[in-house]
Amino acid sequence: MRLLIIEDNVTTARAIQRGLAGEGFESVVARTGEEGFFLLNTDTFDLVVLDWMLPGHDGIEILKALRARGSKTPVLLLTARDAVQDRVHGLESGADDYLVKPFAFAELAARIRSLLRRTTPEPLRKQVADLVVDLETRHVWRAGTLIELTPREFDLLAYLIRQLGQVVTREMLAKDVWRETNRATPLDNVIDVHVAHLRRKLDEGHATKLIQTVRGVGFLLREEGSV
Amino acid sequence: MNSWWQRRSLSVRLAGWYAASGAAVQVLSLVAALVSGIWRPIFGRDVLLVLAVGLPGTTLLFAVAGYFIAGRALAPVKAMVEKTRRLSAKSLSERLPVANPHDELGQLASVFNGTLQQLENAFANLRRFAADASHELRTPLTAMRAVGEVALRERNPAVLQDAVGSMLEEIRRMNQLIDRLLLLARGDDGDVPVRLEAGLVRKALAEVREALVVVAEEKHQQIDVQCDEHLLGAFEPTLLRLALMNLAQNAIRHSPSGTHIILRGSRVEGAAVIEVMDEGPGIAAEHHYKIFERFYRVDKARARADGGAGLGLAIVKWSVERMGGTVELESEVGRGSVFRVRLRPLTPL
Repeated sequence: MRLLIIEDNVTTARAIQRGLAGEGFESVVARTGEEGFFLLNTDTFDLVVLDWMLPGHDGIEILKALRARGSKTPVLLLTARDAVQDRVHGLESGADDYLVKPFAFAELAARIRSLLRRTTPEPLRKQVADLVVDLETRHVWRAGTLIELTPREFDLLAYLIRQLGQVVTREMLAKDVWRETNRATPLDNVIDVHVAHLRRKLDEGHATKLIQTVRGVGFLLREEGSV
Repeated sequence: MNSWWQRRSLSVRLAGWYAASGAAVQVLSLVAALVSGIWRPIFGRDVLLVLAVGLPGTTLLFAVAGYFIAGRALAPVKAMVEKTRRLSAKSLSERLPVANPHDELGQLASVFNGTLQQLENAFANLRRFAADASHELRTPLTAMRAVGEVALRERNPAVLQDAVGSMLEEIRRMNQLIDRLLLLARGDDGDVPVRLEAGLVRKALAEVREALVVVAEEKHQQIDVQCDEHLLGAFEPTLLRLALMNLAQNAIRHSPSGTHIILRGSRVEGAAVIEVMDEGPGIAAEHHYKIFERFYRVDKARARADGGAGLGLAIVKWSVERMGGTVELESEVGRGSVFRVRLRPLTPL
């Protein structure tokens, strides 16, 4: 997988590039819209991470030019503007997804992966260690024992297992599991309590702990010790 | 000519009008004298002389007198102009002199002074807001800096990792603070119109209960919804949810374990009223007036330890007022608190 990052802030661009390398993605950085557009015309990429505010031609112009050319390469728009109108404008201009700065790298990685696998159907039954989650019947087993979960707990677990081994932030959970559209609505303690409940139900009495907390970032589901 | 005339000062123009009307009166009386014939015995044929010398002379006299009279009458305006010229954002506490509060100029000065007072208040609020906001942002920055500087000297990877984690937590906190500040700042413009819909109040209350019931259960508290199933209210669901989530979380946070929190909806004079009631320690009357202000905290030390920046109730007030409603507090120390949200009457929507 080869990605193009069009971002004028060197620190941000380099951090994204390095982070994506850790996720197994090769990426190229363009510092201006012109340079990015040139690269898009001369090379092929699986996905573009595009900053809205760029010197010269801004991200939206690049995006429109790209779409006018008929390109269907997925574009993830990065921006510091998060008013609803901006969001709508960004998506109408042809962006496939939209991420507000400052963002957690975990969320960027998750969105990139989700854009890249949009076409591949996902299996309806997922497994990690001795935990089995059936996304269709909404049943969960740990070591062969059926576990009772509330609907919200199941949604939370389903989200975590779709991002298996990847950190999910509270912001991602608020937006995707709780469907909260307003970022100012306080949900942190609600999320924390649900994670604690889920952890109690899944991990208590088992040697292998599956739900882990990454301090300052969020939570992830994985077999302890595995990467 | 017209624009040249309009560029002259008011006293010159008044003097001009005065002289012109003086001249017109003289011409009219001369014409009247000519017609009636009473001039003959006095002036003989010297009427031309009178016209040639007397008229311009008296007109000039009128103009000069007019200029001085107008200047005197307009002196307070000149003083106001001078005073206003010296006003700036820094000297908003100055006021225009009100010579006579009953005449038009006095009234003008009073109105202007009123506007100045409002401006001064707005500037003071803004300054205080900026000072509070920087203080709140500086707190996590200070923590991050301290943690970072100590971590630099550290070799143990586990401690280093912990330091980075703690810094990320502070960044998250700052981020949330900025989100909330932005929300309030954007709201001040009032440029985003709110679309009110008729919605079921009970449904909104039940959703808030559903989201928070697990948090309350952690503290062995109970949340009850008391509301008629068919009660309709005029609201925008996201804004109402924002307000109620803040109010209900406050109730949970400040009430001891084992207590009840009630979300009650009722109809008062054609409008829906929502009350968030707790059995907490209550809030002393001296705080009621300021409690909805940004960054105001009743118990400064404790609220900070909880991670609150004192913006929750300011956001509640903001979102309720965006929907055309009001919010008020009824509380007594030792008897719990009731936050009452009055929505707009349903008709006309």
